[in-house]
Amino acid sequence: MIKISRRQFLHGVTALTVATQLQTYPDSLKAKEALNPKALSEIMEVWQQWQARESLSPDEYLASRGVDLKDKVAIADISRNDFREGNIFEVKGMVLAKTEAAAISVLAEKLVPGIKIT
Amino acid sequence: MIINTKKLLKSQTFKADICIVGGGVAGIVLANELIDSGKTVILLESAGEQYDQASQDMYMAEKFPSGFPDPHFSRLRFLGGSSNHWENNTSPYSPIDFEVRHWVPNSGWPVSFAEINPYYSKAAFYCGTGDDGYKTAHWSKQLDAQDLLAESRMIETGIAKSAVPPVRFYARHGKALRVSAKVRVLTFANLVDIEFNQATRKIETATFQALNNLKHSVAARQFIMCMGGIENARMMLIFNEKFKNQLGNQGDSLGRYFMEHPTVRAAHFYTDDPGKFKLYQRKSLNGRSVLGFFQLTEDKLRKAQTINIRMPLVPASNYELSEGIASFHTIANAADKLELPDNFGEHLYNVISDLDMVIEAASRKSLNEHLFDSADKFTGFQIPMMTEQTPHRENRIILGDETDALGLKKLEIEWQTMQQDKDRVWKSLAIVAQEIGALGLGRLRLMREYDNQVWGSQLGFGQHHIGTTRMANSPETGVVDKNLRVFGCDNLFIGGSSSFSTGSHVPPTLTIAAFSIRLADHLKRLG
Repeated sequence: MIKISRRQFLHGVTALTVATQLQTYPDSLKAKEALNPKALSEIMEVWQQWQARESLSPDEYLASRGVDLKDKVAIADISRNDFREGNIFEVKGMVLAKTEAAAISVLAEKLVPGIKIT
Repeated sequence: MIINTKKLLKSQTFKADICIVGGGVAGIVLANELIDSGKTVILLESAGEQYDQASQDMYMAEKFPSGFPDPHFSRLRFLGGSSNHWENNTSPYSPIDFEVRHWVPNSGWPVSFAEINPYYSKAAFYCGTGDDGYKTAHWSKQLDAQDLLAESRMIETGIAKSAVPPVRFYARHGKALRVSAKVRVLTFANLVDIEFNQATRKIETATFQALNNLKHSVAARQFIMCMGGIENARMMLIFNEKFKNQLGNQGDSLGRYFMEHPTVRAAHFYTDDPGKFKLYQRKSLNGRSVLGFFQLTEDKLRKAQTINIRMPLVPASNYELSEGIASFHTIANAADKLELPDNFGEHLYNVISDLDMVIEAASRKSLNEHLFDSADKFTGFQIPMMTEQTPHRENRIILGDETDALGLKKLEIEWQTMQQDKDRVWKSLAIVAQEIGALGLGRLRLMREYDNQVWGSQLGFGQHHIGTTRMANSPETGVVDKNLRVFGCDNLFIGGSSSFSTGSHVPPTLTIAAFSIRLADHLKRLG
């Protein structure tokens, strides 16, 4: 077997692993280059869907819910509450909490600064 | 004792109190239960103790839907029947399965869960899965494995148990029949005809034939057909051509309501802590294995008006969850028809962005060699989910024009998955996705965008044949009554899953055995 692991090399994650590993978010996602093309595509899809469906920007939404992106435990708790209350954001079959979707959208804007609508 | 009817040199008439036709799970359990009843029993088996190609070939169908498992191979026609190739997965049906659910057309049995529940323990003995039940709390404690859904009101953990190795019913339970002075097992005895006395409303004789063309008959007080979910219907349709639909087909239900267990890979489950899913990984325990699976609670099924799905979690690698490979197949399938698939650009992107896994697949297929070590890295869980199918009249077994080696009409199968059932699976999965998020267990990805493949080229089957001689309260709505007696006939009964009114979301064999034990009790009471 050839010891090649493109995924390991690129530290690839998907939008779903972002959602399931909130304790490491966003520290491990420092640069666009850290993502494999698929993960970046999924994150951008979440951002696009957010823009299409929501009136508040992801920043505004997170602020309205009092979410501090540095407080990973709080994000996890709020996300669980989102699920309990049916605040679901489904993108390409990925069933996310709305808070997660907002957080991922903020991440997308950091990764691709030019896309942010001001 | 065993009598090989191929060795009989002239036609004979056998007499017994009870004649069972078919030596599969239902027939073998029934015969065993009658050993000490004081009644004499004849069990007719179309083949012998080993696989026999000529007998198996009589399972050839004239026509069946593309993609549907070929009934020539999905069943086995020798002693032990399809238990000779089953995986021994067992779980009891749920109370709600037996109820009328107004959102599931044609649901509701004439028997309640409370009536069948006392028979499950003994049924588990026959299936080799032990008498320690299927309670999740018990197995969580026994295996020292947390029930991760214990606090949920929406989803819960179901328990499946198997014998290891699987119980082959004739190998395990045949000896008692061979040594019994009350039971005669006639091998190579193919049922070909019956004589129905319309005045007495009774079957008087059953005629059987070995492949040497000699015909023999059995005279009995009761006849029980245990030939399997498809074959029961086929033979009953043949008999009803002769007797003008007087045998359970007064309401044109015979052969209809045919159900399978469509098995779909419609979701992937991602978690950052796979180690805590211990209860959901198969655990061997003294010749058995135990496995937890996700399912919806009865309360949620009622509120959401949906159907249940059996969701085992199968650890999956990058390779197994690769969307690039899935998209590659989508493009290739469309290309075979000189077409482009819907969302071609997206599929092409999937292939390019997941190119290492596509190359890995090509390497495995053509060179039988692994290239990327990351291919085997755990990524999430696949969920090969077994789903309940609504009993639809249009799904059915009918008789064809061709005949088999005995001159009997072959069968045709008309079957499809209805959009309503697909919609309910997605609805149920959305509930599961929401709840596992609320419980902080992980995230679900629903494969909605692959709907065509999920319900098409990737569709699997439980190979369970259910519902074609359904149990009902009246001949207008079914074929047999709550005691499995055929409407219109006082001494003909039908055993096995063909008599089930609905199919549940778990394998039927444990429940087949339970109903056979109950039928034996009923036959004993008839005197």
